[in-house]
Amino acid sequence: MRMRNIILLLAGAVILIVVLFWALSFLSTDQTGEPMVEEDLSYRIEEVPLPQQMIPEISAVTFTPAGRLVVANRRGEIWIRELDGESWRRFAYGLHIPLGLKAKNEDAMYVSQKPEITYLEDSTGDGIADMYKTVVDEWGISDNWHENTYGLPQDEDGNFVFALGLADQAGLMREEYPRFPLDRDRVLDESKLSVSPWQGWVLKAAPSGDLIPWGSGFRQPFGVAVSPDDDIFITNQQGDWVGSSSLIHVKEGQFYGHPASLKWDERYADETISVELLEEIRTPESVVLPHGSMGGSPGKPVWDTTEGAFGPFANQVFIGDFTKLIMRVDLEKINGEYQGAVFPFIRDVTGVEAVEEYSGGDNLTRPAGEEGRIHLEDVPPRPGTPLRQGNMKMAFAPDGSLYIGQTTRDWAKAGDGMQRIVWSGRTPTEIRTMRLTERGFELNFTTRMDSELADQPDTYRMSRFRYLYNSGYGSPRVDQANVQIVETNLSENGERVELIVDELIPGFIYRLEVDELSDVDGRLVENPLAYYTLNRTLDGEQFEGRLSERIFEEPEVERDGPDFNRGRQIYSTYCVSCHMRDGSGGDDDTGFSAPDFTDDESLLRTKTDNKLFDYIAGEKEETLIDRTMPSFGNTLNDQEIKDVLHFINTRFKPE
Amino acid sequence: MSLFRSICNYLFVVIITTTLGYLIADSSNGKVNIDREDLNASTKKIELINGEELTDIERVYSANNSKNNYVFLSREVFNGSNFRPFFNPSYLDSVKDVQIYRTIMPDAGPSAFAIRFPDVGLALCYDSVRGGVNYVWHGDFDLSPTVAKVHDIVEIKGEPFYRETDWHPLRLMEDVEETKTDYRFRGYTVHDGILEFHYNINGSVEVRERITPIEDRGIRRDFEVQSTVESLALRIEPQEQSTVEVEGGVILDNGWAVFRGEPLQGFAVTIMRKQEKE
Repeated sequence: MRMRNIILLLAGAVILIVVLFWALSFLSTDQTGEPMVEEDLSYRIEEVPLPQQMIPEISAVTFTPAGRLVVANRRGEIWIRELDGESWRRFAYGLHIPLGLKAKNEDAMYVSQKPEITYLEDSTGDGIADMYKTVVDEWGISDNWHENTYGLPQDEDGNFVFALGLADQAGLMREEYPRFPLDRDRVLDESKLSVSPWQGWVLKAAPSGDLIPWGSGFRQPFGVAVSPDDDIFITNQQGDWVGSSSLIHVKEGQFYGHPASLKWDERYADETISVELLEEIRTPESVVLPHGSMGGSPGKPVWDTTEGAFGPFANQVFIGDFTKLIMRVDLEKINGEYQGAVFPFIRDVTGVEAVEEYSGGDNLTRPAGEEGRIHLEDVPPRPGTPLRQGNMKMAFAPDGSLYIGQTTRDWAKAGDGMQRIVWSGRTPTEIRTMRLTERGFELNFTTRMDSELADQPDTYRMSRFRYLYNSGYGSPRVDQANVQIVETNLSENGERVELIVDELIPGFIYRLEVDELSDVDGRLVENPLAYYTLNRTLDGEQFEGRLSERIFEEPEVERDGPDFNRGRQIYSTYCVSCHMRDGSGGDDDTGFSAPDFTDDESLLRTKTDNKLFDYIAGEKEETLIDRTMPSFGNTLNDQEIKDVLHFINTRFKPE
Repeated sequence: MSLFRSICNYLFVVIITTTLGYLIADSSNGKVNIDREDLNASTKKIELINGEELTDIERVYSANNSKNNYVFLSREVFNGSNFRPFFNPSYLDSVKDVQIYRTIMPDAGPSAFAIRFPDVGLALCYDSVRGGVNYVWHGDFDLSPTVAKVHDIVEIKGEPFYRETDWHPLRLMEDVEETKTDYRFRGYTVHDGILEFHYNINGSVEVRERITPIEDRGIRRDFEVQSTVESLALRIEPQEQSTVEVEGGVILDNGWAVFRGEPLQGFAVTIMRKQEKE
């Protein structure tokens, strides 16, 4: 036995030596972040090596005052990279899904984790936090998977700003020893619930621990930021009561749309919450990030404060997405309120196939509406970017590069890790801004454009649409129409052009597409697409109709029967997490149980379609008491249930 | 011999983990954990020595030296797959020090603590909402069920020999008849491997509670009171499989232990597993 162990040890040593040489042989290439894209691109994407001991599900990224990179992961660790750029240490561990970081100094930082905001400090100088001090925890949680605590910027007064996601009706909700008794009542047909104070709110916490409820009406407010002008911004995620994801300027006391959070607002304690009331009190988002075209799930917004080190987009906002996309937002203030345009910044191949290849399909969510699939193909493809998916957390480094923390966990194919975007110094040919004028929009380019092309209305295509505000899971694009560009006025320097349009209607999103427009050196506009959210016109006009209803009649679409592809998308969105991609279902210990559609005893054989339809549609009360599968009667309409049944029968039903 | 074998095992794990890739499973400690959605029909399967099947794996390094089975996944494959252990690699954590995870525990309030003392094989659940040690057991816990998108709760590996269920077990004397009191969790520290929870009672009484194992037989809880309070009461629930003793106070017939002083400086509670055979 002793001999055997010695042999094993020797063999291990030999393997070690061989492997060390092997590892060293390529440390100087891939591992140090060799540029992976063409040299003439303005931005290159590099890998950021992470410590091998770390599960790379990045949940927060920041830098210390001295410039050390700090990274949290969803397993509850915080790692710090030393200034040499190579060595790492684990500063803290055992946190419950840390989703926000604020470094106080080199030895101390604040972190937002599920149950609280925590102050971490290394008091002994060994580089490891030994103090985990509760700063504030005066909100309710139930261990539901959809509850999260997002953060963690500070405002000018030193208050921490954070936001709480809603609980999912279908997930675990713990009743044992609650901080606050759980309240599972719905406010108005929502599928994501605020079961405990202050879920669905954006809050401030003074360093003393005092809690300041700031704004309400959020569903899953993943990205929390304080702008250089000390304004609070949130990215909210598409879903029930949220027609499309968006960037929202959050003002004190305002309500932003999802009714669940109103449960904790004393002003409405005696009110009957109706759609009419919600329409009246809802403050619109600043910039809509149209679902499908601008990804599926936006991450934390970051402001380019690099003063030019990241290229020609100083003071603009960058937002990563769950898909292979990073967006750029240009904000302007009209009558004192923010609105503006969103552009693609880094993007990959698009379309349904790309979504399925890179994002699984689950949680990219169903592209909203009947014609949703086309919106996935809305963004012109630009294949080949080495950008991964899962771009949920970003931070600018002291050197002006943009670090991207990525995580997908099991929403999709693994896209975990860290990359960074570095400006090469070459100015990209882009639409820098799209700003509102009295008669249309002014585009400001990053460089001098070909005057012949830029000054032609035919070079541009514009259309408009809006989303409906109701309890549905996302909204279709409605009231769509082309917008006529009647005139173009190019500035003398060839960098600005005004597009004069036939009609500006507040409450619509204006989509701009640019055809084959190049600069004076013949370079095409790299991202020839923008969406401008027109909440207000320059003379102060706002939308006056019903937010929950169409203005114009939508043409009836003739349908022959259930639609397989729509059924597939619905399945990927709502069903796959329990029923599995191959329909095999399964059990776990929490009471979730899904039948195997494919076996000989399949209920697809033993139940009629009518019975299955009724079961999927379900009843609210029954959902919460007797069954583990939530009812979808509020989420899917009859046709959609037929579509998904058709897909399930076609794909999984045994012969 | 067993020490030598342990050193060999440890060296092997460290060598492989730091050079080749990730330790994904140590089947000597029980089952191999696979996230439910990792299962992918298009990829290969591999059967472990303990009879379990792993999928979504292309390259595996394994070794069997009669006692321990380790399986490794290359970094390249690891990054390209959904296969995730909860923690990696636990062997690089100090195996001596207490390990503390805020997570989802059975029979506890939200975001409770899973705590293990690896060198003695003891573990406990500390509840920062209820305000005490919910249970203590010999064995370990598995955090991996908490990883999935729609997650499960931590799996306890062992049978608790001590349990508490009442709200806010430490309180002012005048509050012993209340169901709940004003308890606020304030965090914890770990100095020299000693875990110390901080909380306050009624907004003014600051308490520090150190929890240390007594070999593998039980735990000792040292309470240090930071405020000038003269007396405190601690709920002592009846236990079948353990004994509870107090230092610095007395256990009354009504199920409360009383601690007095002017001011009260501190006291201790020792929880010991009863011997199975007298």
